[in-house]
Amino acid sequence: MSLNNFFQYFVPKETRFYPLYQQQADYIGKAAKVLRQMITETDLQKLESQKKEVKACETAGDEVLRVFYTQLFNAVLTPFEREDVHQLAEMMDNALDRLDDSANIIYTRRFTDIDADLTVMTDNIVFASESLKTIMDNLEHTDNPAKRREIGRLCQEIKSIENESDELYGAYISKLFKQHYSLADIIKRKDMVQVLENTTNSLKYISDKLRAIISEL
Amino acid sequence: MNLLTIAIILSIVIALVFTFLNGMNDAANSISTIIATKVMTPIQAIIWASFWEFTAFLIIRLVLNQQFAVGNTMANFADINVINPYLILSALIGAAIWVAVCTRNGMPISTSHALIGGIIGAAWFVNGSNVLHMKPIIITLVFIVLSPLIGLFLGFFLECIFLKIFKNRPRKKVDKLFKVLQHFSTAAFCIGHGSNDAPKTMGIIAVLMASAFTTQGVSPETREFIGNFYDGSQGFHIPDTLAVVCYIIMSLGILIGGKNVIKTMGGGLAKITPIRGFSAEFAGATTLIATSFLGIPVSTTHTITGGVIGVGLTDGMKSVKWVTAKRIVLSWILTIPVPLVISGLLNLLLNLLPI
Repeated sequence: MSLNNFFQYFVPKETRFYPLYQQQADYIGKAAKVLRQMITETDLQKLESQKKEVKACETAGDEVLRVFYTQLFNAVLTPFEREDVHQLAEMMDNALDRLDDSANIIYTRRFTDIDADLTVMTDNIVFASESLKTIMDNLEHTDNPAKRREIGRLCQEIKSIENESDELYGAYISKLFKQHYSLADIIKRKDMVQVLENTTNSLKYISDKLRAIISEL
Repeated sequence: MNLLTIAIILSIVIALVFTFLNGMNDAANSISTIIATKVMTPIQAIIWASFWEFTAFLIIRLVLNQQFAVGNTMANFADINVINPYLILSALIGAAIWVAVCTRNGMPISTSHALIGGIIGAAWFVNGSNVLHMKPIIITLVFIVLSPLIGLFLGFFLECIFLKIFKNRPRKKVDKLFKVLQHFSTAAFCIGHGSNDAPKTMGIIAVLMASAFTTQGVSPETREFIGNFYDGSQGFHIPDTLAVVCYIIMSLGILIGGKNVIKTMGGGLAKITPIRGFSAEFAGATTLIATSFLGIPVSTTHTITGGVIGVGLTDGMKSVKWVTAKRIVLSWILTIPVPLVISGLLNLLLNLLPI
């Protein structure tokens, strides 16, 4: 037993925040999957209902954040630094906001010949959100070295996914000007790739924050 | 006025300056947490601390009718028959030189330990190790290491207990409760500081005054003058007049040192919650008061630092600033040996002079 584990054995644990993080991760995962369906959806009615589904996730996420604030305000003890608990919850909510933005852009700027690059970017968002869900399910058990390593590995995975999306984004922008698109098409495609890139970034920021939190524990 | 008289007067002045500086330096220790949690403004806290430092005297002498045990220990590191004004002067100068060098170089130091090293060295180098009283020396050395550790464990476990009890209570109410309790923990810490630190120099001045009646060559005028404050026929004791003077000077040190504390507070302090502030102070106060009644001189800085590290440990080992802990260990290694050698050599030199 390490000295840190010896001391931590006596410290009371505060677990009420973990289920809230898990709920947020659930909504992110759900919204990401719907977004993936939206990118290839051609039926306008279905697209609209999918957009509403993402919006519902975002609204539910807002409610979780509200509960978070109330709990945090009243909590004497926090699982890690109070500011970090707060920032992480905000970042999760921010990711949901970006997913909602993406859904809006896909709905309003829709076009039929969706490029494979954009599909890969939404796939990446789904993969990253799945990793995030696993991280949040394990976050309570950081005192277990195996779980801790697993969280570190998944954070690295999210970072790699974001790197891949970054490259795709750069290549896609440069390709836009080489193709013979109309001005309106360029704007639509640029908006879409941009919002997907922002969403991937928001997930990477969460993994960065988680890495910083874990390293302090 | 002969050289012995000069040595006596000089020693008393240096000892009082030590008391004043001790108050100045430790003002931050006594009140930092209560200011950090915004329970009191710096000025209110300084006045509060000065008041309770002085109250330590009233509690020890008038309420409990006890002796200043730490003062007695300070006078008991060496055989009382070998203590003379030159020995005390060497001890004080040796300690002062080392404190000045360390302060200038930003090295950690405990004034109390420097004084202890000074007395041991000055007695040992001239009279040999036979005159040293090993029991109080060993107990003091052991508690140099133990006192921060006691503070650390007490602070840690107190924080754990409070977190366990108040975990599910609304934070605002818990903070409010502990902000009130911090008034008591700060007062207790100041009483602890007053009962351990002021008697250190008190003991040195008292043994110096006692030596004026036993050392050959002290002029009758000097003895008569000292006799106004100290009854030479009673043997070693700490007169209440001397105690009151030391407490007033220490309280003045806190009042004046408080200016620096205000500056430090302006620069921002480490985050500390009312529960933590209370736990750390209570741990420090308990250690100080317990060691005071056992007559063991300890460093108040180390004790409160131990308490603060202890409460910080509830957030994990990584959340603790280990640089501070390393500084304490460095202080353990350096503080006693260096003044011991300086004071010892100085006393040897003074004894070689044709006086």
